[in-house]
Amino acid sequence: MNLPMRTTSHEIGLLLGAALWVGIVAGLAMATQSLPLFAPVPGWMLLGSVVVAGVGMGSLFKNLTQVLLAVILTVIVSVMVTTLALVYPEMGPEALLGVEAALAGAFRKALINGFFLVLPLTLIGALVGRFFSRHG
Amino acid sequence: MTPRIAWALLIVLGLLNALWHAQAQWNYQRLIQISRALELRVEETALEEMPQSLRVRFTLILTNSSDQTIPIEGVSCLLWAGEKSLGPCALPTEIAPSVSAGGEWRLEVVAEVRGHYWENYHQARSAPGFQGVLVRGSVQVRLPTGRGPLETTRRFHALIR
Repeated sequence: MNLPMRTTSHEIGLLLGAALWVGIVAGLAMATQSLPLFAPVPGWMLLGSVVVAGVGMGSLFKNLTQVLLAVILTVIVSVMVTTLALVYPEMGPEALLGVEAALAGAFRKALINGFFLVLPLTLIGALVGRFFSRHG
Repeated sequence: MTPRIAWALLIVLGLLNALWHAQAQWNYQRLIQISRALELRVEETALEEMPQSLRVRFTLILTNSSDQTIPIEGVSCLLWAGEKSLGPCALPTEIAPSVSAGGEWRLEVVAEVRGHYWENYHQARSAPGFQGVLVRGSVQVRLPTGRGPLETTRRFHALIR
């Protein structure tokens, strides 16, 4: 009776932990990609890092439902991280736009990036990662 | 791929992305600081009226209080008397190519207004509400961004009486 419960809570923890971490990776990558003039690496490397993070995450799960759930959670976390990462500099003395204007712009940008970049890239990566997991 | 390798991969990617983002934000903040450290103003203005021409004198001064030398790409300006154009400014052929860190860049401009531009000035001057000659223009500078220079402009305008 205890074993399935322990397994389930372990899986939930794994899912939340992986989604949170990959969300942070993807969110930071999207925030950096939003500053193309200032990023130290080209955009394809940032997008590539999201795909590779997806591969790593996908290899942790055996169940397709878990993978899809983790990808959706990743997108949500990445939107929050991107928004925070873009708004944070506008809270200091060097602010150009002010917090409210920056928040509106950053959230819109984060949402678009989240659904049009993070979602497909992590999904592709996770499906590839799942393939590695099966045969690994 | 074992879970240990997968987590190691995720941790490395997280650290890399945090580093890249911190670098991008640092570059962005630095650009803002440098941009704010540049101040452009117009000083030593004078109008000299002659029988068939007008001489407009002014000095552009760009002060750079940042710790970075800023290259100057170019200068352009136009003269106006009310709504009448007095033509472009004749700029010196030799312009200092950069403003040094903590330094000052000066450009003394002497523009001669002749011919139909002078007639425009004459008409504007005799019209009611004439206030002076407006000089309006910009200085193009190159600011460092971390991934290459960003060409931007500093605009100026001054009413010379």
